[in-house]
Amino acid sequence: MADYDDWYTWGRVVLYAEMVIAILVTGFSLYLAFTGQAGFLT
Amino acid sequence: MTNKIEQLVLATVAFFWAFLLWFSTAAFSPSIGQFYGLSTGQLALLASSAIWLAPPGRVAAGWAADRFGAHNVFAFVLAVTGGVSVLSAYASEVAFLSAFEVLFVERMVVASAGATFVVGIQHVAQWFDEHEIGTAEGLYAGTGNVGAGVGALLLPRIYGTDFSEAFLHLGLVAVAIAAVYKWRGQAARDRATAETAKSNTSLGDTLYVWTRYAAIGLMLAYAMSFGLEIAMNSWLPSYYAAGFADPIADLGFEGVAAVQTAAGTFAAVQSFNASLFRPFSGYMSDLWQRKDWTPYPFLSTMQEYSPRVHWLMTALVCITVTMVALTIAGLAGLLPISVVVLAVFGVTVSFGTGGVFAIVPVLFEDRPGTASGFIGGVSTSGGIVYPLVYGYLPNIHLGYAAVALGIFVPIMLFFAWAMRHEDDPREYGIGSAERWLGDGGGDAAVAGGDD
Repeated sequence: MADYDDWYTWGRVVLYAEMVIAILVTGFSLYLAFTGQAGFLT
Repeated sequence: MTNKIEQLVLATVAFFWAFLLWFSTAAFSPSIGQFYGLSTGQLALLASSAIWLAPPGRVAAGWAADRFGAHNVFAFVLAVTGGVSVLSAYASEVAFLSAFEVLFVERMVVASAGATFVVGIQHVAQWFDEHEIGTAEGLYAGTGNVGAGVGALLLPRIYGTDFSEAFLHLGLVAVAIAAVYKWRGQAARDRATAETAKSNTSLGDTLYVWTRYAAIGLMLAYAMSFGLEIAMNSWLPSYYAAGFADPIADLGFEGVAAVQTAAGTFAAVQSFNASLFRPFSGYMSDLWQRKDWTPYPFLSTMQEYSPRVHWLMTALVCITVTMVALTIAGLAGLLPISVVVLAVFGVTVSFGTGGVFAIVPVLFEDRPGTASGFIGGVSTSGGIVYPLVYGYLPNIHLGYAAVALGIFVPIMLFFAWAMRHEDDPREYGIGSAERWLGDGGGDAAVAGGDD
């Protein structure tokens, strides 16, 4: 059980971090695109 | 000594690199096109060839993982595809083949690294417990998937037009990862688990899995989610460039290259969300399982894993709804709305992909590789079918609703039909379990059912 709790807690941190990264990347990309700056990404 | 975390990290890192290898050709396609003087048709052929080997490759790799152990199969595939990637850095004429034709064949072989998805699924399934399998598989697959998006963003920035150097480096690192995986990897948490999978690799075992209605339903559900994701990856840049030409021009993007960049940026939103929300989807499957949430009256509630089936059903409904919403936004000509819907769509796709593989290792725990190979392999052909529908309708915005209503609704009906049984759904399929497995076969001692 301890093993489950430790790794699962770590796993949840990682998965929440990945969601945050997705939201940040999405927001940033769209901001650049809608202000006509998407050329910055190439 | 090892532990399940190390095995999960091994599989995830290896799968991330396999995805980089798989989509690295696409990341450099403008440079490759320019270097070899390729037509649009040739570029399109090169792009689609990345998926050709996926269905048979995954079916074979999944079976092999059960038979030989995931660490051996993953190491073998990464070593071979890495080696061929190195070769492709020096592609030149061979006998009657032109340099481009040699490159084409080599890159097709490198693309088969994508087959390792099912090997990693099997590996994780052999190490983690049922109550945490959604999160474990989600972390593995979601973090690995993002290799494609990262490759698209970073590879051209690091290497410019020098795709040969990129192919060389990617291949060398792949070989190094293969060596580490072989050295540190272990097939399963104990001998018994590994032996069970190994002993269930006859032709009868494979046919038993392929003929279960539940397996077919899960395969179709994955075609609705991952098959859709890869179809959109290749289709969306063209869609935004053509379907929203005026709004994109109004934003100030002039010329083919600029429009392509803008369209690619919007399209990438789907891919990033579909990958990075997948671990959350697996976690939700575990959560629904823990809370015993089973809101759909037409789906069984009697299986141990029924809450996970109900989570997946929710995902399939969300995917269908956002597809229709995409069409509406497109017909209305509203680019910002379309892109916001696309972002939500990417999240719903992740709910589907994460939801499917939270169930597969539980439903087919004695044949995880064979089941993953079938479900994860055949479904990738959706990546080829959907763009054909999108491209052939008179209005470019109609494709999503057409696929949602014409293909996804029937799939959901079949899925509900396959998962309605109060007793074990594995008893229901084309032919009984006994027919394929002989006496005493099946998962968890299925008594055999009717044809």
